[in-house]
Amino acid sequence: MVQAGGFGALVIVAVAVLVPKGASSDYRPAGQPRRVPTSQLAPVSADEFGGILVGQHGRPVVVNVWASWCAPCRAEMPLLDKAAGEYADRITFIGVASEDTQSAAASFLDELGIDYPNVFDESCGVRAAVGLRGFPTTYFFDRDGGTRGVVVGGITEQRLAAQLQDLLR
Amino acid sequence: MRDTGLLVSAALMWLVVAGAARWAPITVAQPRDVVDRLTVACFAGLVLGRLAAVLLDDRTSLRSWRSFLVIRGGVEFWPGVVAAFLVLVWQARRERTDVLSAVAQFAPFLLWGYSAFEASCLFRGGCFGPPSPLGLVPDGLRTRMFPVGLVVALVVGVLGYVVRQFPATDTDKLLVALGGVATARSVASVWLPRLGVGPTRQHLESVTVALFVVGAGSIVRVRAGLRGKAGTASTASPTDRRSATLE
Repeated sequence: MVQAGGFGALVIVAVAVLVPKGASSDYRPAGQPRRVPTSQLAPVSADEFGGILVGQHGRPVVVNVWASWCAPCRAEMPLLDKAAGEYADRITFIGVASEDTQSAAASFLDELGIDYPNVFDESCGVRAAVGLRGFPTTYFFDRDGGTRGVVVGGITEQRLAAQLQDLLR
Repeated sequence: MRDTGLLVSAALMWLVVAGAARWAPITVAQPRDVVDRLTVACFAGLVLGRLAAVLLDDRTSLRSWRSFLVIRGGVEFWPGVVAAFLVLVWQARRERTDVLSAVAQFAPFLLWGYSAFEASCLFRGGCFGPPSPLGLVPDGLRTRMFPVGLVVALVVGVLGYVVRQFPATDTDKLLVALGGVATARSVASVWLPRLGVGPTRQHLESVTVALFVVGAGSIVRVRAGLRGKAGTASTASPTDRRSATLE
């Protein structure tokens, strides 16, 4: 059992070393500048979402795509909410509920007490536009709208803090 | 897409402990038994550590096993260590071996396993720390950071060697192991990126454990000193006692 386990462990490590890692995104927001919706979970199309990000040019933006049925989303949301409060004057946080129902998403936000703005990806167009590969995914856009980083899967506090500090440099 | 970082960490920990068990045999278990026992202990640590994190941060996750299983949601380190030690104690009692000796012999392997975990930060998205020209660039960042996790890995790995090799009582070995890890984590927490400016909960926990170890070590030393004096007095010859009385 030890030998089989050792072989399995070596395979896992070899795969991790050889397989390219890290997520990236070619998404570049475009369109007419729009304001961030004031009401939670306002439905947006891909174009409208792009306009919201364009409207934030000059300010870094963090976009978190989530769904109420996604367990890792639940785990990381309080962290993002805390970060949104800490960096409110410097960074814009926007959540995108996708592949979900508006009522379930609303209940999810209420349950966790999330304050930062969230929009509703009604037609899954936003998800397609940003090239989403899994839930949750957090995108970090710099002041010019370029994608600085993409974190697929739940984000840790260290990663989030490092990414935010990197955005502000 | 699945995050393979934690899986790689687990694999590396397993490999390091399995290799160490062959290099550093112990009296209370065969090398293959070392891996088996520590796997059970670490699993218990993971479960209790996750439970502690859920109870502290998001009790509603208890309603859903899927939420509970999200390890990345947080695992409290020290409750996990307590659980792992309790499992080792239980195993020793079941084998009818000296509990303190058994746990002290397993301590280096736990340290090396933890060292492997910290070192594998490279596979978990990068090793973070303060910005520094001497460092690595974590995935998705443009800032070069001093890899605090790698330094902790080195310190804890050396600590495992010290606990293993240097002659000391079982109690001292355990106190050194616990205190060393707590101190390493306390210092590392100062340099790791975090939200807000105050110490994190994990930082405060490690400082508390370090202070506890200092306190416990002091008590052990004092008691050993008192026992030593009592033993000297009781073993003194009748002639010596008479001489002391006359003086």
